[in-house]
Amino acid sequence: MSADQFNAQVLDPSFLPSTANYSWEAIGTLTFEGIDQPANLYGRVYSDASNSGNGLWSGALTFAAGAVVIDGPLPIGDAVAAVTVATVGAISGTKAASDYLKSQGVQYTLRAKTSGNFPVFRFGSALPSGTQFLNAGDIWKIGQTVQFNFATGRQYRYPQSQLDAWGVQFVPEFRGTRPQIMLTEKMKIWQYIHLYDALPAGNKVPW
Amino acid sequence: MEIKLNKEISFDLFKKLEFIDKLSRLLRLNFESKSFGESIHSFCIVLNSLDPEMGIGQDFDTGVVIYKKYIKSKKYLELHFKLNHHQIKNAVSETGILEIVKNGLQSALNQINDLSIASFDIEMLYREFSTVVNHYLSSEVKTNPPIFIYEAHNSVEFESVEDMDEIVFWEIIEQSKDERDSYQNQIQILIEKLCFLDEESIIGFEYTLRTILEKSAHYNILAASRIMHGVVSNDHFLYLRCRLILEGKEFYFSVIDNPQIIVDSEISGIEYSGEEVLSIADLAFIKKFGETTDKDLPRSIAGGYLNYDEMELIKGDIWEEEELSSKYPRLWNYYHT
Repeated sequence: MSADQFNAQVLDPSFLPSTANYSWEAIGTLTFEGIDQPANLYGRVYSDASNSGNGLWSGALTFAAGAVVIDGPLPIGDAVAAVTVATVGAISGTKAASDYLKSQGVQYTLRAKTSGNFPVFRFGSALPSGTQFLNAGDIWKIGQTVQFNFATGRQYRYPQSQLDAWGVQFVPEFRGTRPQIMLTEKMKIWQYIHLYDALPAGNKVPW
Repeated sequence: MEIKLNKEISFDLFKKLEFIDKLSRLLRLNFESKSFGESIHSFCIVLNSLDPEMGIGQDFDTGVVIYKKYIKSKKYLELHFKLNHHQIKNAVSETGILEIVKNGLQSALNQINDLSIASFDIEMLYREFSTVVNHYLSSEVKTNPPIFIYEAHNSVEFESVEDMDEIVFWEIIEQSKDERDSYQNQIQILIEKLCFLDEESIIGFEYTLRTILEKSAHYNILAASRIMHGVVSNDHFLYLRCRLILEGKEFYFSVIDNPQIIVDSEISGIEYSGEEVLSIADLAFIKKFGETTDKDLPRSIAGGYLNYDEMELIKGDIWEEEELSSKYPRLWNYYHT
């Protein structure tokens, strides 16, 4: 399925719920086959409390295992099998919230341009805590951004000079709405931690 | 001249274009003793080739320029142009790929006239580029680039920074908040407001934004982010703090002390990413001075002062995961019951 087809499905009004109570639900449960199941992923899920029918966005996101893995190439080999994210919920009672949710972005990685020693950032430290050797193409950071121009396919999250200073290149890996890229980013960081027992060197915030 | 050849490509081309880094090194070595005019001392080329599925679904012709930036004060030119994804994907050899690159560069160089670069011998540069490419293809020994070694840069001293007075900064934010009908609309309002300021003030806004962002690098906000999202990444943490700024000064500093007030705000819903705040100054600058302005952009200037993507001192008291529900009960109950 293409990204557009996927998004069209998610934004299909037929997914709208028949009732509209303002409530919390877990919007995602990830199941990694053969891997410890991570904690539930919580997100705000609400709908039109007035029952006026203005709920413009809802979705039952179901990422097929392959879609996530193929779109986001990770060094996971064949060890990681099925990844299923079942996201059920009705979101937003306002057009503004709907626009917010529908805005598109990308989950990206910053990868080593050439082999070498890359800075390791640690939370709360004013200086890099050291360096880590990465081979060309290895992941240095996993992130998500909406600062991406889809018309040209160019990111403006980082100035080129910053990428050069870090010795990395920006690789967009998955296109989607804000909730989708957020979930994808989380899954990929989980996978990375599971494989390497550490955050990528450029991800400083403790998990 | 210093020359850099970079890539912005989708992952399917990653291996195929890995050799570009070797070529980049060869170009750098060959160009460092050469000059192509007084106006350019540094030239950064970015080859962009993305799977059309990542964009608008259509491939671009090779050579279409998608970004060009000349900074007169630094004598720096940055040129991003497209390589047709289909062509690159179907190219079977380095020779084939580099033919596409050469054609792309030739076409792209013809599209920078509006940058009004006084002294830049484009034809000579292209000839030299082609010579190096041919040399690369004929050479039997293609050494790998040297090992990359990260060098930490020194931050700009605070005294030398012309930042915007925080009172003015917050006044602009408050006004935009009063006028907004949505979060995204507020971003547009902020861009419009900054357009009325002079160059120094727009750059000053960026400096002050970074200073203020640093103040919320606090364990309380990390806890809030953790409770709201379940897990936190670099970008989540940063974007949430951007969003907090849009709610105004009083809320911003209150929430650092007591993140539980988030439940009473608009942020308690779903709109908790304020990433667009990071590009407000740049977009206002471009809107005011035009895309072809030869001035450096605010983010690029301020990046050396405070880099939110690199180092931040975290404030507040550290917590254990198990303490979150008791330390922030209202926030916890709101998101977890």
